[in-house]
Amino acid sequence: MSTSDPRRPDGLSSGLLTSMTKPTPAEVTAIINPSNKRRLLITLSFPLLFLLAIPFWWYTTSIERLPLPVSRIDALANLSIPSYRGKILFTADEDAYPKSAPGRPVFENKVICQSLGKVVTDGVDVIYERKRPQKKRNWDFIYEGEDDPRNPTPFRVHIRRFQHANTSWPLEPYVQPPEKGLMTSGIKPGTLIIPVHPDQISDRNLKLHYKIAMINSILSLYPPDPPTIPLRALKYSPNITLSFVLLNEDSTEGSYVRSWEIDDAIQEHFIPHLEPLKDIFNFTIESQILYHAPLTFDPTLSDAPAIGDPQIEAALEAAREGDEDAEEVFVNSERWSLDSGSTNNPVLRFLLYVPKEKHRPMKLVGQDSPHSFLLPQFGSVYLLNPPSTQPSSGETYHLPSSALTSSFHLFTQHLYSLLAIPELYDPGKIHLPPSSSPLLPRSQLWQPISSWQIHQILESRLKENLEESKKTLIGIKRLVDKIKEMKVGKNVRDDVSGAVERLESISSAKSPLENFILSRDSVNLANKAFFDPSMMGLLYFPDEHKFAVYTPLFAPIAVPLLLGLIKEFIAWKRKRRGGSGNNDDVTDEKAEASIGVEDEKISTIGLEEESTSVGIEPSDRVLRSRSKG
Amino acid sequence: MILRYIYLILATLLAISSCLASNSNIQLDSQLSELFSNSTSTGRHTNNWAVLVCSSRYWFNYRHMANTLAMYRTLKRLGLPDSNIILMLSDDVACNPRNAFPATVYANKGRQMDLYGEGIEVDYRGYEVTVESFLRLLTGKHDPSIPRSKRLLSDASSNVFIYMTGHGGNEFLKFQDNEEVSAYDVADAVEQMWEKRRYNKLLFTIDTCQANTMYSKFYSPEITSTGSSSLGENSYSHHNDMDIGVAVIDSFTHYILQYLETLGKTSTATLKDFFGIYDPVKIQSHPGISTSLSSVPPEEILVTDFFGAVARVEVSPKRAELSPLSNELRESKWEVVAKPTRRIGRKNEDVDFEEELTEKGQLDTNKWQKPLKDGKSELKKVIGSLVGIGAIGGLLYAGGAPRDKSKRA
Repeated sequence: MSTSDPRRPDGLSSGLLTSMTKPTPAEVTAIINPSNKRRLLITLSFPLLFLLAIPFWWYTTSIERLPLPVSRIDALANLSIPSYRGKILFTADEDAYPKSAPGRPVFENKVICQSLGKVVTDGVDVIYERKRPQKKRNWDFIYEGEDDPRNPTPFRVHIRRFQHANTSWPLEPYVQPPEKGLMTSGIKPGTLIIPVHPDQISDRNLKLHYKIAMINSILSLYPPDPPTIPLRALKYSPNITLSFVLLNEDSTEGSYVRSWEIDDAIQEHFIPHLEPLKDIFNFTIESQILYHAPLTFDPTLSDAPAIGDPQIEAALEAAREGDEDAEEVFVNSERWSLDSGSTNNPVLRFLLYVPKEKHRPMKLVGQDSPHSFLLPQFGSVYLLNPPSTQPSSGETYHLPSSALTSSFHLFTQHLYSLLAIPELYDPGKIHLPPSSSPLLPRSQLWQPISSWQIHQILESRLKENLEESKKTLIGIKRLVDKIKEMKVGKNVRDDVSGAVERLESISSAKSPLENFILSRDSVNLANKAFFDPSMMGLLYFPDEHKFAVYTPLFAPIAVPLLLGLIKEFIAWKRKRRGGSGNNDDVTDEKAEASIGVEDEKISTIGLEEESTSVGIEPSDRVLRSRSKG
Repeated sequence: MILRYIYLILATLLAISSCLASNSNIQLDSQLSELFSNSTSTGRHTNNWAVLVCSSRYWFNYRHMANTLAMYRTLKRLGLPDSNIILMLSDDVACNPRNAFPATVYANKGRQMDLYGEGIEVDYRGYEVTVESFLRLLTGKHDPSIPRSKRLLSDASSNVFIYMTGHGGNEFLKFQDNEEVSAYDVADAVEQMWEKRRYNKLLFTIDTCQANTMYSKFYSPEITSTGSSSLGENSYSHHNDMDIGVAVIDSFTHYILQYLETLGKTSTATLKDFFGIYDPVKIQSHPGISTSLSSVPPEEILVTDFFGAVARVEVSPKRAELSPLSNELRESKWEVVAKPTRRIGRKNEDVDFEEELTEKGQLDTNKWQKPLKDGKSELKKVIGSLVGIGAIGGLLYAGGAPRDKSKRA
């Protein structure tokens, strides 16, 4: 075993040494190599560095998975839709009831209303009981003076003695539209009116007629369950874009529409319907005229010699009729730019199609050639043929808003279908309102959305959102369980807990609007959490991939490190075995042994380090090894 | 005038009577449709979506582009609108300098049909086709800035068809020689789709080497999957086009497309018929079918449930329209705009010119003489000005002559 030169008391330069005495090779090795302890430290510093780096590596490569409020999400499964009990204010005109005969007691108007109200509620209860499954009446009547003046109920029923009402039975209830002009009845819009002609008041069965009319109309306007959202309607989304497009099939051939009074038409036909929905939907409206919108198919010419004009049938009856299916391809969305595409919100498109002259009049196949059709979740199409009375010598047209009435009347109906807004008119139950002036005929256009409909929309959308939010949250929980590599960051956790919080705070004590807004925000947050891009920020790999990534990095470094450590260990073992006869301190032994091995190992490469390692020589260890020898 | 009103009244009466006849039917239908509206398992769906992925680049993978584009064509032919097809095409072979037929892609030897003609809407192109964008597309975890056309906006009532082609191996598919998507990744992505109810049924089709391993890791319900070749097998190309110089289509896709070509929009063929055409001898590999995850057996799923549009259009009955006699329509008149604009006006000279050009297929010679006419007129101007100058000169001369005379005088 080689040792250092004992005669050298302190670190001297090798040049000086050689000049004084001639050192043995072992001495040279000892001089140019660092001391044994130092060498051990250097060797150990590498694995130490690795150990120190492990937490950092762990931190940077581990997937952040913050805990989700799992128990609260599980509890949501039992969350039910809050039942809201509406109040219906029941009033009547003073002279809507027959005068009591002389000698009989005279009752107050309110008292008569109360007794009639009792009859009606009993009747409704009986109907609900007979239904399978059984329903519960979820409203109560209140009467004059019982309404909360600060928070008046939106539901009102009024029996109106009306000069221009129908004199025949049954009574024709209607919902009061907003009135304009000087001749107003003073009735608030949205009130359910049971009109009665003065001649009818003396009828013996008047009470029965009132009862039937009220039960029918209230059942229709205030159903026990919220209506379900049909498949054709859009799923709830707070922002919706409406795109109105006028398409000229081919304006190069002349006889096309150059301009339309779309502002007026929207103002007149759509705004009254959109305005009451302001709490539920946020609408964006855009419009455009296209001058070239060719069809992808050839309309078939039908034989209609009676009319003279070649009647061209463009789109065809729905597939259930077994006919051809040109309607689906009618909307040529690839060539026609039907909306600006500026948003990611759902878009409903209302297309007004003006066929070119050769294709006029264009009609749909089917009975009585309807003019329009609805594409579920997409929009609606109306075929607008220029009037045949005018000479078709190729003029260009301007459409005043009156010419758009028929098409916008249908667009309104389609908007109801596409947004799952319940219709107000119910044959036999709710009728069209009378015109505001007796001189004008009754309007066929739909009146604005009433508070009754708003209530139904709120209820059904609340239910939809509640379900959606619940399902999404449970889905997130399950996915995070299932996919271990999925990241759950702070954003996601905050969104999830926000969604849960909002769902939890839905209660019967709150108004339907408040509950709806909570559900809307909840589903919004839940969706945001689910679709959070960070949840898929890194591609996840199977373990083999991870090994494949790390092995080329670490294998070259690991080999010398491990070998070094093994060598140290073997030397230590050997030293232990060799030095077991001596009574030296064990720790010292260990150090010595390793130093010895290091000497042997590093001596070959140590020469390169000559300049740096010269003159480092702690003396005590040298002395000890000397004593050992 | 009176006659016309009588005619209108008659027409409406007729319309009303026919409406009454069809009324009950419509009501029944609507009731039925509402009855089934919210359940997803009855096979009712309102829309179809397709995700077509070509994951390989470079000229020699021409056939993968052609596979995908041919599938795209077929889907469109069967009525699926472009907005519901997400096409991921990683290399544009059509515009490759090596393409002897620029701006075209063919999937057959004779080059009968150009797949790259009109109306191709590639949603993810070139380097956008990555594993990440594919998985984000499926799961919907997009950056908010991603436009609508690049999103899979399917819902619980959508049937989704996924077609992938490229180079693959055991449980992976290579994307652009750069990265790979593993079967686990795809399975997890599909599970996320299921949890968010982004599909009603899913048909997964893959044409690559060892393709059947790619769908082996699925664990979500309602998936039917099929692949071109089993573990350890290659998926071979079908044939070459000697003029293009590369293989133009893969065997498996070729035979699928050949079968789909026989179907129309109203076909009642089922997936069982579809799978029935697989012939390992012709395809040169063993195609795989997995229906274990689907609750509906393949003989009850129509091919058009995935390939093609859903026929569900609601025609508004005449009674929903305003009656022609109603107050609202009384003053509805179209206004004729007297003076058409010059650009798009009718009987404009330019329009005439174009019409004649397209109709006759040759140029009207008169139009081409216009520059010559202009030349003539310039000549006229020159003559005119010369005459004018001459006249002035003459005047000056005439004016000068008396002066001379006066001088002389």
